[in-house]
Amino acid sequence: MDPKSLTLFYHPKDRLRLTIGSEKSYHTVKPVWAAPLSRPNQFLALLDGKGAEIVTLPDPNVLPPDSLKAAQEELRRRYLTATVRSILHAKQEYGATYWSVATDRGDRDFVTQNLQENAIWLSPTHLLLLDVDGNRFEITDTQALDDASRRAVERIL
Amino acid sequence: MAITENRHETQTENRPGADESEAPEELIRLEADFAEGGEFGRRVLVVTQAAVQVLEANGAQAFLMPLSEIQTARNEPLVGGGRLEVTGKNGDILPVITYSQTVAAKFSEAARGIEQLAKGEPFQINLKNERTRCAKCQRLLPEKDGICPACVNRSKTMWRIGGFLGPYKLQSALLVVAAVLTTGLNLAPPLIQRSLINRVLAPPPGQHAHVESLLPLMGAWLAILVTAVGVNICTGRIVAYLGANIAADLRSSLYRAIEFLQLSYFDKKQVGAITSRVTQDTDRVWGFLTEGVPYFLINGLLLVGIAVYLLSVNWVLTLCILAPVPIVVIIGVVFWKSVSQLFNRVGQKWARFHIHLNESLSGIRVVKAFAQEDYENDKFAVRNGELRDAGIAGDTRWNTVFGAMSLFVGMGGLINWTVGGLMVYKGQMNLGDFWLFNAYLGLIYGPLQWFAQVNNWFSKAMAGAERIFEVMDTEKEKYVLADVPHHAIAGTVEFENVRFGYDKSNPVLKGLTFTAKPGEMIGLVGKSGAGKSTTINLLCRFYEPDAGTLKIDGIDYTQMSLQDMRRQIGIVLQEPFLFNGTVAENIAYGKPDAPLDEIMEAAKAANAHSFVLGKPDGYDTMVGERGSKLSGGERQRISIARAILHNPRILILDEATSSVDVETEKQIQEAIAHLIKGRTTFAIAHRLSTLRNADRLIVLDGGKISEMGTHAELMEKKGDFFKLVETQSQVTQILGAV
Repeated sequence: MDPKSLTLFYHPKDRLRLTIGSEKSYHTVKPVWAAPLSRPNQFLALLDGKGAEIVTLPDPNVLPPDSLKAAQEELRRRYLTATVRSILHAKQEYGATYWSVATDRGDRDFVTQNLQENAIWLSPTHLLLLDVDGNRFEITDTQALDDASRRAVERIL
Repeated sequence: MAITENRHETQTENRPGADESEAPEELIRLEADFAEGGEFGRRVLVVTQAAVQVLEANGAQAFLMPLSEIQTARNEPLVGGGRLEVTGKNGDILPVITYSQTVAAKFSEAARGIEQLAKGEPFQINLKNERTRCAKCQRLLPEKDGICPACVNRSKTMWRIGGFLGPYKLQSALLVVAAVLTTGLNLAPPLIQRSLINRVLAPPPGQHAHVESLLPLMGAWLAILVTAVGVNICTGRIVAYLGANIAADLRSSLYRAIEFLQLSYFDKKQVGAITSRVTQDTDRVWGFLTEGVPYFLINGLLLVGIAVYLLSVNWVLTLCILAPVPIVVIIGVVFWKSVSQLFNRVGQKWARFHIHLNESLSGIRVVKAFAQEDYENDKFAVRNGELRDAGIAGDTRWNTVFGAMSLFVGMGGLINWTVGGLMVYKGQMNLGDFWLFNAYLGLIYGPLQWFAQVNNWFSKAMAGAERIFEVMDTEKEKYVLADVPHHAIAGTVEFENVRFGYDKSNPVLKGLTFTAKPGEMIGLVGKSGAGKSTTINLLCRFYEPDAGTLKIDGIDYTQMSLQDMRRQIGIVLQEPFLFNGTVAENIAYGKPDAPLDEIMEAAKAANAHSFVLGKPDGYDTMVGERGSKLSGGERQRISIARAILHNPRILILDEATSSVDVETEKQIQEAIAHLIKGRTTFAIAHRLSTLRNADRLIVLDGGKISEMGTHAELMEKKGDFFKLVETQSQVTQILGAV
């Protein structure tokens, strides 16, 4: 399937649709990352309304620009993971860890417990934190954080 | 985020003539934590009798849809949260509002409410107000409506540990007496030395030496030494006895508590992490009790005793030599926090290490089969390295702090020789008193160095104790209801609109309703994920329904005693779990006092008797860990014999024949035929043909019943079941042709 023939667009306002060339059309499309943690921004799968795969693109950037934009918008709506920009405050007390972070979605306070299970190192510098409710906070590169944030991570994990 | 809503269980009336000018009553008001653009923010979902609407933080209306245009509503799970979606009467799906995982369960409930309103069904949802922050200190709570760990005070934890001393009152009292005695005995030798100096060696000017005092003084010293040794031995023995007993009691109550935890707890935690609580955390508490507490007690008393006595001898010098004490204490307290955090980290790394070790050894066959020893070794090396680094970090910090502290400890001696020496020189103090100060100095500062260590022990033990108590305080199964009498189950099982999801925002069963009559065999059929195993989990009450009721003999089963109920339910699993022990012990697991002839009866009915007799040790054959010395079919027949002997009123067969060959399956089928007689039976089977004997089949699809009827009826109907059978026989044919 030629990725250039894929047209993703919103119609109506909140529903992502897909047409493939002029032959096929899906009125509900769900973009999902095949391996969002280990291979971010690669392997984008498009699923139909029933969850069956329509196509998987190893490199989503081959999509036409407008389609890519629509896909990215929908991905942002579906992946509520917040990317941590800096750690404002982190304190470990009584078996729980209290975090206050600045993320790409704004500031947020959360609590984690059992860090050996809920702090997942995806690589030596790539960290995913799961709070007590299952919300996700991702630090894509701990080395790229500011000094205070980095120290906070090192102190706790 | 604050969540403001009330508990709704109102039956809404249809009020066609309701006054239009009156603002419609708000039935649901829920706050979501994402703004429209996907940033963290605040938006509010408001549902009234008339419409579903979303308000922005500033009150502006972002979404409005009349209930009359809504067909269904649901929670669409997203990554790290969810989205409320409604399907309009025209079939369009509209996203309404996005929220994080924190409030997803509530929105899922709200979706249910919207659907009820849209369909004109009674409005019955349960949105209770949950606290997410501590009322006292405003900290986020680790568990909604849970305890705030910061506001649980340590003295309370201490008190709880102390509670474990209860059965050992005499020994505890003896320990205190021994501690006081030890203190006194420790204080005595320097006093004798002072007398020795002042009376014999260097009497103050103008006084004669009393050589005759030498012998009595030495005698007293010897007596004190002997007594001190005796008291020390006693203390040690009491401590060993107390510490070991308390640790054992703690382990037992923890184990007991873990046993009664709800299964959902085990879904969330790895077994390795739970075992480390039983082993390591109790060990820490034990270490503290046997070493920390006696030190604390004896040295605390010693410090106070010495300080008071020295003040009475020479208060100026006392204040001088005690001046560095606050500094030592402050260093201990200030640096303790960071040190303990590092030690905590070591604990975490240990747990991770444990988990990996456990896993790789349990899966050693797979590791070998795929020749991945090197890969596992690398993983091990990483964990091992992490553990090493964390250990180094912790101990490095600790030694630095300890080293810094020893400087101030050394100060005490320096001050004594400077100030005290000067006093002796000026004749303001006699040599004996100076010696006394010097001797006591060691007694003060020695333990003081330990105080930081005790603090360290203390914090580790407290952290361990808190983790232990956390498990003990986790909600348990309501195992025994005291005031509920024994109920002999006849066997009617009723599901009434049962809804359930492991994750509350994602229901697996969506309103299951059916009744099984006593003695009836029900086959549960459906694709994987349709809810078969979940149905069974609910029936065993491993989980309880989120909504709807499950009745046994017309009684809501949550009103029955869990223990009583489970004793009358038998289960044969796909992968039977046998315990390390003999065949007979395993068969009699549900009825440990069964005589051997009963055990053999059960084994005969389960087609197990012959193969057991074929073993050299017969019924005394050890089955190995998890039954590893028996074959799959043998294990299965033992587990069926176990169920037969257990004699349950309700029987559950979970894929009981899927993992064996055809011949063994035949034998197991026969065994099962014996087993199900006269019992209400629920069977899940992958091979649909094995359910031919079922009185009724229930076909599940997406958490709902799609078809119900006998095998023949369903085949004739040519519906979902027919399709399943078709697919399966095609697959069998394909497989057979290969």
